[in-house]
Amino acid sequence: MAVKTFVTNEVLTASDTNTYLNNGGLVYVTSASFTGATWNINSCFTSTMNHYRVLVEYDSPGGNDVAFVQLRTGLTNTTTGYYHAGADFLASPTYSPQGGTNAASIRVGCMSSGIPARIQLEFFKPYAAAYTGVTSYSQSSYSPDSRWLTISGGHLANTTSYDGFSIAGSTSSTGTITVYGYRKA
Amino acid sequence: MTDPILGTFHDAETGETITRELTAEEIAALPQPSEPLTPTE
Repeated sequence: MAVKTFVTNEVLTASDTNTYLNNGGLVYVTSASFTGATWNINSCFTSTMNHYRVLVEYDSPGGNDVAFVQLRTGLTNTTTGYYHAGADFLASPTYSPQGGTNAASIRVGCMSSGIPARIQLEFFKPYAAAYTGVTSYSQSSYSPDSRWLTISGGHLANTTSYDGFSIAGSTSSTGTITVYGYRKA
Repeated sequence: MTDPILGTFHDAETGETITRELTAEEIAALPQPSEPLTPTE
């Protein structure tokens, strides 16, 4: 049961409640606090779900830098085969196009020392034997008066099944990553 | 002497999280910006 219409004074039963709890669209997978130059999560992608949303919160970036994503299988990152395009938008307003062909990673955001930066990632079919798609939206500030929006998208052009990912940013950064999956049905 | 480059590793299956110094291989695999970050504003 994905959808049920309740009527006035109808009793919400335990069965209905449990059904809705078990059929939510986004399902929590894992979350952890991170520090350092690379933040790595293993075993977060499984056959249970096809697609994932990841919220990356750089609470305190260690410097002015760029954030990159790599897919991970077991304990090893894949460091080639990424095709991506995107842009950084400034409040000026100006923008700077970004991209890569057969690159070592996908560029997903910017950060500035000590100013929080947030990145929303979507991974499409990372666990399947198919190209993994990645899209991202991120916001940050170079200073309180200079806003950044980064949008990017791309894929990893191989059919390897991936069970995790890494995000590399500025050294000495601290923050949190939370992973959610999209329920299949 | 430069400070060690750290990384944090979280296993979603076990819930274990560790922070350790990156190996030489992991440092070599770190992505490098294609151009410097130079805000224009």
